[in-house]
Order: sequence, then structure tokens, then C-alpha cells
Amino acid sequence: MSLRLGTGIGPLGSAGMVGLWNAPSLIKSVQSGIFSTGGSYSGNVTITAVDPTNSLVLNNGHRHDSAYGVGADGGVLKITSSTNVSITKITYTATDLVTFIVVEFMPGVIKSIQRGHVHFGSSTSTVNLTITAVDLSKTGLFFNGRHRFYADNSLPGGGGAASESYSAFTSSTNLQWVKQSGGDGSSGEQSYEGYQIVEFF
Amino acid sequence: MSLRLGTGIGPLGSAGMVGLRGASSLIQSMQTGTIAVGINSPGTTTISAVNTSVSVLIPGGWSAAYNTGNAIYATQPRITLTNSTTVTAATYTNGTGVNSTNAFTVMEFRSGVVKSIQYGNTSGTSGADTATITAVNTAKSYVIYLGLNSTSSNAYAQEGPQRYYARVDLTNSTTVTARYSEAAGQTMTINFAVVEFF
Repeated sequence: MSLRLGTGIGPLGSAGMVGLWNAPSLIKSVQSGIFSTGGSYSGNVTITAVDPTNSLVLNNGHRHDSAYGVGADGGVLKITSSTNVSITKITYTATDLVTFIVVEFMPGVIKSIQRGHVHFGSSTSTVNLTITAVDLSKTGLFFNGRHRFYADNSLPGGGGAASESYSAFTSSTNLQWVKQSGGDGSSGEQSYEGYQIVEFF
Repeated sequence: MSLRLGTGIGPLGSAGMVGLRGASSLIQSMQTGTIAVGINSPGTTTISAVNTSVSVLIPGGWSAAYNTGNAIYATQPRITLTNSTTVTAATYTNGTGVNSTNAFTVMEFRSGVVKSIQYGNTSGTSGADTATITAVNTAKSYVIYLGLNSTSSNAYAQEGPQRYYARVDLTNSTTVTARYSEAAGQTMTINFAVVEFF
């Protein structure tokens, strides 16, 4: 067992022990917020400063007051700086309330975070995203919301002939996104799908 | 600083150190998978056994074959970690529809990282339904939205899509609140998990 107790970061020996000096908890902070995005394509919420390399944002769902249209577009959430969470979503007049939580871990819990979004074109059914290699046995995938491009007043999903998407790792360097029905190409149904790939020590 | 290194569980002293003996990682196991689910037809997937008291279920998106006017393709079915080897998904209980595929990750921490995990649901028609949970430290806890279903039919022309979406909040140490715009007499069931770290 290697007792590198002074480092304060990461596993202390491959077969030994995981530890953090001066840490009464693995969690440094938890804060929540809400976007009210009526009519807006994008928005920002200021948060108490966190270290983005040790923090993740959780999309906790949304509700809206529209009869039709804005549908499943809860928006893509991202931590864009130490004090900012952003949302991008379809422009629509209905008010949509999107809640989020920012969880900041103590240094030494998270090894890496890769965050961003993939783009589905108007007739795309599969997207392969190349990522920096991670250890899949220690890596979690957090779906961070959807930004659609099309509002249809007659459909509950707010879009044309395209479904939602799901994702899975196909290798340590590839994240594959799938829509069972891709965009039909005629309605201009495109989308961004947000993600955070969180690799733990 | 208290160095209770022998315990192997939890914070080792309130102002000192967090540590796990015999652990090369905070993660015990990580599994991903998918579940097929249809209207009025919940689905399950078998996973390798995990300790449910330290395992977090994370939704990974969902997709259904397109079917105009079908709510299932627009709604995130509710999922839960039913037991140590089973993940379950359910969506609308009425109507006709298509199957959807639901992705998930089960992240099992080593003992001593997570203090508690509570899986639960709200159920009601009020637009702001609550569930009581065992008290947690809100400074070290977060809630995860795990989807919804309802007794609604899937005919979008008859029912607004407002009820296809919901959000959840950890209102206080013992309450989770799920909010949606309307239920129109249909019971909405919304799943969540509350994760509390040491």
C-alpha cells in the first residue's frame, strides 16, 4: 500500500487506499437553480463559484405551459465557467422551467470530465463522438438535455419525424448516440444532445 | 484529525480526512445497458448484482420509433433500480404505441463513499406532488430525475403535452417535490433518486 497522504488528490496506491486529506466529505458543495426560458434560445444562471473540473451539472427535468410545440426540448445545460451555467434550447414563446443541480466534489474524486453536445442533422440516426480515452469501469455518462430545432404545433414532441435519442459507450474512446427514427429531412428536425462524461478515480 | 483508518467506511474525522482502506478507486463497478418498454408494457433488464444501498441509477436518454401523436416517444419513461440485479422502465399505461429504448448507467460506489441512496416516486394529479424521504443532509445530497409515466392515453390531440414533462426538486431534507403543468385527472407517477454522500 502506498500512503501518499500528503498529495490530497486521487487514489493512494493502486492496491491500497483512497483518501483525501483535510476533507470531512467528498462533496464540497451542492447548489440548485432554475431557468425560465420563455421565448429564449439561450440563457445563463450565475452560481456560487465552483471548480468546473470537479463539478457536474444535473438536468432535473422541466415543465412548460405550452399546449403544443416546445415539447421535449428541455434544453442543453452546461457549466461554462466557475460561476455560470448555460442553457440552449429552441426559441418558443411558451415558458419552460428547467431545474438543475451543480454538484462539486472535493479534488481527488473526479479524474476527468468531458462535456459538450452532439449534433443530429435533419436525417441523422446515429452519431459517433470520439472522446479522450476513459476507464469505462469508472466512468459515468450523464445525459444533459436536448435542444431541438423545430417546433411543431401538432406534435407532443415538438418536432417532425424524429425521435429522442439515447447513448452508450462503444469503446473507451467512442460514445455512440442513436435515434430510432432519424430526422425525416423535410421538417428540418435537428437536435443537440448534451452530455457529461465523468471519470472517477 | 481522527485517523480511523481501520474502519474502511466514511469520513475519517470531521475535520480530517476521507479515506477507504483497501480501495484503489471510489467506484466498485459501472454498468450500462438498455431497456425496451412499450405502452402498458413495462420492461426490465438484468444486470450483474450490485449493492443497491450504494448504487446510483443514471438515465442515459431514450428513443422510440416515430409514431405521430404518440406520447411515448416524447416522454422519458420512469426507471428505477428495482433490486440488486434488475432495472425497470415503465411508460404510459393506456393507449397504443411503439416500443422505446431506454439507456442507463448503474454506478456502484465502494462502501464509505455514499451515505444513503433513496429511490422513490411521487404520484398524484396536483401539479406539485411530494414524497417524504428519510432525512438527508441537503448540503451533501442531490436528487436525480428518473422519468415519469401516467394513466393518460397517448392521444396528443386530446391531451396537451404539458403532462409529458416534469421536474423534481429536493425541497428540504425530507421532501422531494415533482412539478408539472397539468394532469387533467390523470395520475402522474414521477421517479427520483436522492443520493447523499458522506
